[in-house]
Amino acid sequence: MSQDFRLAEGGLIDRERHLHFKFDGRRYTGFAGDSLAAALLANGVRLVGRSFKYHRPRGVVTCGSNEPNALVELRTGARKAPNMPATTIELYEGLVASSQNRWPSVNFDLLSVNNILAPVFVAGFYYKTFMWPASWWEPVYERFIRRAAGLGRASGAPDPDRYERANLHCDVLVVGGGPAGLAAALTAGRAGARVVICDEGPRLGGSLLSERIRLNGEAGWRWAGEAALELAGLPNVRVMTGTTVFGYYDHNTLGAVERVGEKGPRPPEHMPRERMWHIDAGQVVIAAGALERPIVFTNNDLPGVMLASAARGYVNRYAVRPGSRAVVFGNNEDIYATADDLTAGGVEVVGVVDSRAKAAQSSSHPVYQAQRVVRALGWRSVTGVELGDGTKLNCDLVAVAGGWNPAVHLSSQTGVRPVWNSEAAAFLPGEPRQAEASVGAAAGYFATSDALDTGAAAGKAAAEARGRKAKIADLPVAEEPRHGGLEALWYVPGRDKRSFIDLQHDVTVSDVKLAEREGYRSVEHMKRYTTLGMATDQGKTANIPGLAILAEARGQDIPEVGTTVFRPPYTPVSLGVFAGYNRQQNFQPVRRSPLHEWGEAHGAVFMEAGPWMRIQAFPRDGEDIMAATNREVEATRRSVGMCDVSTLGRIDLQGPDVAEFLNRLYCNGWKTLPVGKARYGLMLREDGIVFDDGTTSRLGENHYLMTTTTGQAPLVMTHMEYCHQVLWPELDVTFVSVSDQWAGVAVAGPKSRAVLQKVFPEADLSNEAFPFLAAGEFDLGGLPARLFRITFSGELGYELNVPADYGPAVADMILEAGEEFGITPYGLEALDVMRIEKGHVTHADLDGRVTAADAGFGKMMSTKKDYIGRRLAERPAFSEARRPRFVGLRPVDRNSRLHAGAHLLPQGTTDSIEHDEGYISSAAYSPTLGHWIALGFLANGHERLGEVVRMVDLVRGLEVPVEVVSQHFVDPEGERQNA
Amino acid sequence: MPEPARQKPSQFQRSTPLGTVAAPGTYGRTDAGAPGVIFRERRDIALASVVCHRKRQEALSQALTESFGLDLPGPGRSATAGDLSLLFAGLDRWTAVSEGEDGPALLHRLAEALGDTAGLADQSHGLCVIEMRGPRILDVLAKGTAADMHPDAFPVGASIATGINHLAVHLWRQDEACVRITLLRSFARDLFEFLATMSLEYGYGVES
Repeated sequence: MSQDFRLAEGGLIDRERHLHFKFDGRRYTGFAGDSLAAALLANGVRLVGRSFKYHRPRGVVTCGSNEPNALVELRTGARKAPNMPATTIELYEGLVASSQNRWPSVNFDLLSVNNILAPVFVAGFYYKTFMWPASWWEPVYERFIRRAAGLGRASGAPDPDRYERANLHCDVLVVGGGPAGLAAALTAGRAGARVVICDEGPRLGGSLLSERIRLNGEAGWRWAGEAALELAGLPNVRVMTGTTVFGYYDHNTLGAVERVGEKGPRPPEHMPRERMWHIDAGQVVIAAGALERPIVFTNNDLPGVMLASAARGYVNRYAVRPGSRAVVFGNNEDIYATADDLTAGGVEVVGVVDSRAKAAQSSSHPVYQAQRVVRALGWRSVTGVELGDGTKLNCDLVAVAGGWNPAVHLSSQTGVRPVWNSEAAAFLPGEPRQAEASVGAAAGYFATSDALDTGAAAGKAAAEARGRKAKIADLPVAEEPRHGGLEALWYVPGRDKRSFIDLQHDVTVSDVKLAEREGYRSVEHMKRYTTLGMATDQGKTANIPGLAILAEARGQDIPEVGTTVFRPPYTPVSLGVFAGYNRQQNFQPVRRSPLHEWGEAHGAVFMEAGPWMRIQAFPRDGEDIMAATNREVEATRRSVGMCDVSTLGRIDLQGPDVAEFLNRLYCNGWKTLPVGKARYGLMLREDGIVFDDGTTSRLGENHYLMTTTTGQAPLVMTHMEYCHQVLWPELDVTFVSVSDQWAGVAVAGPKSRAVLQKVFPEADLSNEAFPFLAAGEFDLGGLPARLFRITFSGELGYELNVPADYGPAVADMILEAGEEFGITPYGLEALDVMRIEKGHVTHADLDGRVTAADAGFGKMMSTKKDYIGRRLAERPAFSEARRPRFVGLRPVDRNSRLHAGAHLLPQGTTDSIEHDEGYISSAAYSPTLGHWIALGFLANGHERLGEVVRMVDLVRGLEVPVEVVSQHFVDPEGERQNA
Repeated sequence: MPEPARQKPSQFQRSTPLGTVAAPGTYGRTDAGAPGVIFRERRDIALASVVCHRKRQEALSQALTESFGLDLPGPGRSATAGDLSLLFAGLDRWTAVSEGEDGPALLHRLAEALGDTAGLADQSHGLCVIEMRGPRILDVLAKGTAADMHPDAFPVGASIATGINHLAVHLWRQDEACVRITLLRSFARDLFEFLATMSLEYGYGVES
């Protein structure tokens, strides 16, 4: 299809660059510089969507981000974005878009039956209509409503593109690149201030791009281009087009979204699609312009009815005729400029309908003075209008000028209520609370010369507030058509049910009147009852007419009724850009052991453990995790195994009071620990519940090394800082995390001493010289190494720490030394199996409900000192006989499997909570014993050894008789670890 | 806590926190202006934590001045004398940074000079130092940290503890052209992958 509605010349488009695009499957051509809406209008496409509730045909209403109607689905497949205003989409080669909310097509939409059923769908209809039967609400009514009332559809596929977040700091943030914003940015930028100027459109200029404004005798857009060039050349100024400042938050921080990758079907290589900016601004100049408002009349939603400013914009900026025969209707001088621009653009103006009693100027157009359009005629698009005196005019375009609303959104978001100005018949920004100033049309200065003046003055003030010497830029002399002279007119009475205030949410004059009659008289209640202003455009064209109509229904003035205020965002922001980089595997940072790559090289499979990636097992050909784990356990118990334990928390403590500090932190005693020894320690919370456990070794007279569990390490550190800073600042102790400094390798099994003796040939590692719980510092070929005779597996075992970078080399050295013994690397699963076999607790068991006595550590709790948690550990409830105590469990039928999380009930009872006696906290298949075993907590369990109880797993539907046994399944006397 | 002088651990191959993910080369955009950022992992730098003992700050300060000609830097600052620098890391703590020696040697030197005024710990392996140079480093850092890294706000010698992509890092402008990032080695690979992704649009290089 050719561009029948394109003018032969003019417009800020590049006629050399033809761009091909598809809309609803049909191919069209436009030019570089077009918006999708402009290109569609150039091709004579006027019907672009169906309305939300009544599925009425809808066309383009605006030429900016305030568009309520022309919402499309942009792109296809996983990159599809719904509800995108065609007026803000920059045309590119290969663009694909489709209309929304219609089936089967936008021209023939079956759900337009809703239009006939309109009396049913009044404000609040879903509260009234779908009341009975109540049980149908969720399964039937709500689903039906959601299907019928949606707009665009999400792709349902993961977004293949990347999003970013970033931070920006500046002296002066200028929001909006029209004449006021440019004057502000030039003034502050020339003064040397760090300036950021943002504009939501693809180029700077604002009204200078779409209105017939001349600056210094030339087209205004030329001056805008020169100003943009100068700004781009200043090193202290950052120009950001395609960037919407959508939110204004406390402490002069603002949110902006930059559409980096929206200029093509996919973002350019290496670029994100969108970038979220967090802007920390010293001063803010809001030059966001103003939004034109409509006048509401019957059938004002027909395609072909558009705002007068949009009609001028399509002619002037895009060289597009938005129609062939136009009626211009309005309440201010803009209608004459509109008629002139349309005529210049080759549109026949058949009537200028001026609602005011008297015109301020003569006109060459046919003027209908003191007349109103009472209704638009037509079915699928407008074919004419009827005036108050019955005159009918044939036309295919109605350009409506109802006056201007300053864009007070950002100002309002700071908590400042907009203030009604009766002269402008509009809300203006209130007194600023933050370091900001509204200028130009955003402050009600609609003349270009005033916009330039107020912008420059604010730019100067902002730069000076940031300590710069500034002077007002030389400003161009502006000539522009007459404007203003407004006599308020909000709506023309007619068929209220067909007089649309909120085009996107299909809210009519009758809805607002109904709300008022039903008691929703507050503007906030009316808004929510009718949903006026609650669509994706947030009522940019609808709010003020809606308010005026409510005021009239209440018989009051607008300022008495008040106004709603604005929340971020100014325009919709995609969710992806809020997530930025942090999605899928990048949701949170990943922590890796110094042996991570070593593990990968040795065939390790990893598992998540909090932020850590830990080695789960080292499966060999064909093995699953369980088979690998069984092999690793057997090899370790039979000969020797090695395991990465680098992730344990390590805290280095120094000073004369460390022993006292430890004594207060741990429930057991620390005053007698000699140099060169390690001790197991148990920390309680203030409430007497177990907090964490680990070993602490005394490396020197005043030098200790504490280890914590992997998961609790940061919490233990925080707890220690609190205790030292707040509770006991008098203790002279310093401590610092050295978790990352050391790579840790556990070597366990009967042959572990033989292996380590080969690693440390000069050291005496005999049981006499280096017994269980010995700790020492050794030289390992020039490396400072630390060796601890501690074990979690219950085997003869050691933990070797070396500086982290040497971890892989030392791990290989151990493998080599252990080769003759068949040394086997093992993972977290094998470690877990062996500690369950040995009856050691982890945080699977110590889940925040368990006391030291419950866990079998009652005897460790010192009675000779005070420590954190002692008082509340002595609560009577903690010593009740019925408390669940730590026990071992094994299935009576050795073939049965046990499950963590299952409950323990006595035999011969029903499966109900009053018979519940405990639970299983850890379960594993023991390759050593050849059957499943478990650890758990059972009421008075330590006195019930030998009793058979039932494991009841209601989730899996299992019941298994289990025998209560000691938790020490393997080597209960500790002969192996002490060997 | 004097350490005995040790022989160089030459028999062991040293791994690095970034390991194979930071292979030397150029990545991302390749046209004019690229690479905008150069990354270099520095394993030749020794680091140690210095935590002042109770009521010993004056003595610590005096010892530092006498032995190294260093003043204790306050919040947001670093101090450098010769090859030794101190970065402020908290009200009673600093990070010592030294080039041309290993961790045990630095620890030994500090222990001799500072005596029992401070608790010392070698962090040369526990911390990873990533150097960033190039015309676009501020653009890349802006995608990670909320701190203002503009030279007016973050001049040479400035040093702050802050966050990048939810990770705790220490940023330090060592000279006009270079910003150093110090963080726990266990998170270094995650941070590098983030910074590398954020640098794609400017092109980036990795130097060994």
